[in-house]
Amino acid sequence: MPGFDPVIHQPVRLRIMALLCALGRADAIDFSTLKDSLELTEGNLGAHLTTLENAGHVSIEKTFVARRPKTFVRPTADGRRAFEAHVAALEAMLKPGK
Amino acid sequence: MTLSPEEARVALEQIEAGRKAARLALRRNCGHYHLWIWGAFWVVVPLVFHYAPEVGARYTWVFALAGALASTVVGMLVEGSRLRVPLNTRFAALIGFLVAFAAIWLFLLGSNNSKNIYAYFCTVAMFGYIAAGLWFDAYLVWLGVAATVLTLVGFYALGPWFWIWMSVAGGGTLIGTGFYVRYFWKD
Repeated sequence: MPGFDPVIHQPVRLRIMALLCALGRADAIDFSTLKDSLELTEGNLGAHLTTLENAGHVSIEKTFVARRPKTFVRPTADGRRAFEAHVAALEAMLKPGK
Repeated sequence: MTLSPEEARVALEQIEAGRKAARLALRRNCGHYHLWIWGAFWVVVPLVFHYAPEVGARYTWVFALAGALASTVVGMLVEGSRLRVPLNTRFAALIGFLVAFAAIWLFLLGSNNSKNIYAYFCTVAMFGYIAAGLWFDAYLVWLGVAATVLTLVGFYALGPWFWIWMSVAGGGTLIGTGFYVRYFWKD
């Protein structure tokens, strides 16, 4: 199945990648906001982000904002391309004649 | 790996859920703080003009400066800690030119009537909201249009009640929209 990405296809990772790729004008989101937006636990989100990072789909940056530690997550260019190809593959399955 | 159409459909629903979460995260980031800050400005300043016109004419810039500082602090400390948004130079330039032209037009028109100047700046500010809405999120367009209409109604139809109208209807619209965006927006 061309474009299908087994790493992205896991349901939670699908939602993570969909959110990250839909942020548009914002290019990164902090870990807590991502966790709250997707209603996940820290451990669950952290494990899935590690998997996505190891696959090269997201980059994770640890920094400080107003002297407080913050972890920002953003999709990589390869991650965006892989996600778009994955969505196209899923949509192709639902087209008539498939 | 092969998927059934049903599995593909469920996966696309997960994707839509993620996209919806992104839209909510963007809308709930901090826009409501700015609406509350400037809503408070729209409530207080007209009341000052209504009950103490000389104080309003002399010190409105202080309220405007306080609002600008509060918005800047919210933008730098709160917004930037949740979503990192690169500066959109074209949009920043648009707002910069809008402010510059607003000042030039006011100078050319030469109005020294507080009511005229206040209505003028309210409509200019709402033009900025409409421009931002065309760029980022449609609700700002509707808010800008609604507040502009309310300003015009007060200006042309309500005579001495203009300031009270602007405080209640104008300020109330901004603050109410802030509450709606923060607590009630579901999609």
